[in-house]
Amino acid sequence: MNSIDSHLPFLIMSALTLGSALVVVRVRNIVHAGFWLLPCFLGVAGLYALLQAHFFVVVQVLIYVGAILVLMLFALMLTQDVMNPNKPQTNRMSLPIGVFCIVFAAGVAAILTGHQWVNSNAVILPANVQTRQLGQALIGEYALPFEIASVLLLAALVGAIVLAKSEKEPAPLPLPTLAALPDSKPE
Amino acid sequence: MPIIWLIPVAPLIGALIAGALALTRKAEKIAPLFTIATTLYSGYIALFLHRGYASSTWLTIGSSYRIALDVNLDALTFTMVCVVTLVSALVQLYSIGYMANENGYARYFAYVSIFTASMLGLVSADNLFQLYVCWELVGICSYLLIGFWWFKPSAANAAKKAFVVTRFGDVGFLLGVLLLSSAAGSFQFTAIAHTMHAISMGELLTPLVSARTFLWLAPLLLFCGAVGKSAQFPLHIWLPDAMEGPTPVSALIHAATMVAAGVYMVTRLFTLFAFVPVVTETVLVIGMITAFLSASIAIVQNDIKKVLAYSTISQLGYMMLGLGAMGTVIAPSVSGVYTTGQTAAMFHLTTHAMFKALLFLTAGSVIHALHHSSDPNDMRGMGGLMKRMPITAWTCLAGVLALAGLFPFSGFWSKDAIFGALREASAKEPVAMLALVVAIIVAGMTAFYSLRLWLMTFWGEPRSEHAEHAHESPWVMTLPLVILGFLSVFLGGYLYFGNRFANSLTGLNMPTEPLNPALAGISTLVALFGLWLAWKLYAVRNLEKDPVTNLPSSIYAFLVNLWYMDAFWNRFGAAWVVALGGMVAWFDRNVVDRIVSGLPAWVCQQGGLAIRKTESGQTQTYAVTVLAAVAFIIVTLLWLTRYLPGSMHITMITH
Amino acid sequence: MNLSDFLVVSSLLFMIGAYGAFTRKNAIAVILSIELMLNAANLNFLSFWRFLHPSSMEPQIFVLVGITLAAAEAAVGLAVILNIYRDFGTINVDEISLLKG
Repeated sequence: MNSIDSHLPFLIMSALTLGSALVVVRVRNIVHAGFWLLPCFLGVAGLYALLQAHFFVVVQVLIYVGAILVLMLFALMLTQDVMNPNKPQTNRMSLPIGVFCIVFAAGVAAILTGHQWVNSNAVILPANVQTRQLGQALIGEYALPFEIASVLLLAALVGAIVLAKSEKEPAPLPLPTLAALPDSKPE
Repeated sequence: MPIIWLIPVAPLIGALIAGALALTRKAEKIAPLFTIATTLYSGYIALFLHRGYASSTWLTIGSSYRIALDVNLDALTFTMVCVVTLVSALVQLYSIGYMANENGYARYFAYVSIFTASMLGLVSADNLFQLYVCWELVGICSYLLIGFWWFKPSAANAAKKAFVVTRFGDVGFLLGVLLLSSAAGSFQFTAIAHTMHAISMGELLTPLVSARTFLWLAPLLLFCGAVGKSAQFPLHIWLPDAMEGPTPVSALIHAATMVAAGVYMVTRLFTLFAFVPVVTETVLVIGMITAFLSASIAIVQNDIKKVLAYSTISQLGYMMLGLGAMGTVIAPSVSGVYTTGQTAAMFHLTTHAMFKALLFLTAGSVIHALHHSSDPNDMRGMGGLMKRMPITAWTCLAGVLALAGLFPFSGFWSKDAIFGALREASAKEPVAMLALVVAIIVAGMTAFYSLRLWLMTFWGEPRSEHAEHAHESPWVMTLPLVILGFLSVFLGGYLYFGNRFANSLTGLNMPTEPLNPALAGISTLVALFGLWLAWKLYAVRNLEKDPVTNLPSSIYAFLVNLWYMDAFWNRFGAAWVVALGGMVAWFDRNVVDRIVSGLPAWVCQQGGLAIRKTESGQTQTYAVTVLAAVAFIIVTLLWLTRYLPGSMHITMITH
Repeated sequence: MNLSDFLVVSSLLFMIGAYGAFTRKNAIAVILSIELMLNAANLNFLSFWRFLHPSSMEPQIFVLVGITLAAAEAAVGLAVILNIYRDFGTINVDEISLLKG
């Protein structure tokens, strides 16, 4: 009863997610990898929509795409010249690990599809009711996990600032000399 | 716990306190208070108790072997405890002044106190095991004190030499102890004496060797220990080198007490020696050779302590002569036979302890006064000290005359007792006659070299800048000299008259043995001749050349080279040991080390190298390992749920 | 479309993320791959919620905490990488092998 009948949207979203994920892990240019994360996250958001988890669609787009991905892209832009994109971006274990992951995923998939799941008959609540319930749960029954999560996030942010802050003044970058700048000579 | 235990234990407590004080820097100076007090306390307990016995089982091996710790305060032990505590206390008092400016002040007193405790443990032992343990303990103390100035290579070498040379004798001693105790099934002296008696009667089978062999082998093995410890020929070579230690140590250990341990041991176990004549004859011959050899060497020595060292060896030879002579049996019993020779030897041990400690302490006083000199021990740099150090000079003269055996000084009475025992023995044994002649000649030599020592040191004009400016030592050093000087003069006569010494030792009440006028006359005449000769040659204002160098050069060279005994040992003893040691060391390095440390090391190294490869430092490798492990666990769990449904279930929530 | 279909997608996404985390040399790419794995986990939670326990709140709470964790992980991970870059001059995890035995 509770199965989802829309096959095509599922296939599209799955293909988008998995395909862009594959690009992310295989592409040589790290900035491209960062950008390919965007369709992957959006695909996951689509899958959430298919699952009728409306609140999480928004959260996925806001947090993953809006916050985490932007953070990643900043880091990538700062370090993009560190790794030469023309060299292989994977280590020498990539082939055996790839084979292993395929076999493992195939095994897991075989087990999952082989199992007879019994769907629940409960009604999926509409978006507004669902979100209200979640909000009430977060400030009511599940206030403690919520608070712990927020304290964790705070600690992580403070820790990240402490870690990223250099203890001593960073060595000044060598300024280009006048001779090195071809066009700076006054004519 | 009976108070008698404190006889050996009290100095040990003193040693522990001094050792603790040695760890501090500031409180070092009070260490002698404790060690002297505990030493005197031991002596006081012995005087107070007079006789006593206490025994406790320390270990029981199997069902029959009992290893006991004893304090057996009988007449012989009483004598030894008195001698040891008196000399030790006086030497420690003297050392307060002598060692005042040395590093390791408290350490020194701790060592001396351990030595006192070990020696008291040795003389109060009633079983071979404790005797052997304490025997080695005094050896260790001797090693520590000879090497007290360990930073001097000569002192370190002398300490090693003393330790190694006495080891030769101690091996024999240990074998003797094991042989006797395995035959007797006990370590106790009485049991061993009874066993020996039973063996001589043919009532008991002996281990390893036949009864005939056992009767001479076991005592001779014990005697090996005495030869080492009491510096008898041919193992006497360590004692002159032992003079590298501080002079008070020489007085205490290498003259008065420890070297007498061999004589004491033979006296204590004399019952075992008396079964076969060849044993006592060996003791006699060894004593004779030792007495003559070292007296002759003493004549040509210029080092004041070396002269005294050789005279010590010579006097120990005398004591062995007395023991070997046996003389007549005074108090026969299975466990404790006493002969005139034994009492004479113990008598001489007692008087000798007094005057030899005195002589060493006066020598120390002189050395202390000259300690800025480059070679303060050399008598050629002395002379004329009588005016500058009168107390030392006069007490030294008392010691010299006692050593020379001049009537009525101490040495005269005890030496005469030994001569008497030899004369009694010569009626039965021709070799004792020879020994008596040699002993009388040695008496003349002793008189000569002892007066030579005194005259070279104190007579005439100073022969060096340092001797010119010498001063008398402080009272802590001269007080022991005066006490010992008094004892050196009067103790012998006091113990002789009324037969006090022999009666105290044997527990009998016998009248004084009258002196044999011929023997006493001859020995006195010979001694006087030696003194006269020394006086004639050395009592001159300016001694320019030592008259003994006028001896025929071959004889002089022979004596100066110590009868070539050190060379002999180096050639035939040390060389073999070094060669053997080299072979063993090669074997140890190349075979044992390769096997014992090489193989495990190789296994560990190879294993480590193999495992090391997994530690690539690549975090991703580690993560892959984790993933593989997770996969393995999942597969295992699946396999278990599929094929062993009864044993484990993974319940999947399905509803 | 049933639960198993979503689970298969989620497990494939997870294994792709794992592949990336184990094989990429660039430390930031490793973090990107870990984000993929976290997404797969969230998807897994929501799939179970949707098909098996639609009336229960716990799966959603878990996902919310998971997203928070992902954000924290990204922040701390990037700070660590920044420090590594300062100390080693590289963010190639192959070259950072202080743990090598």
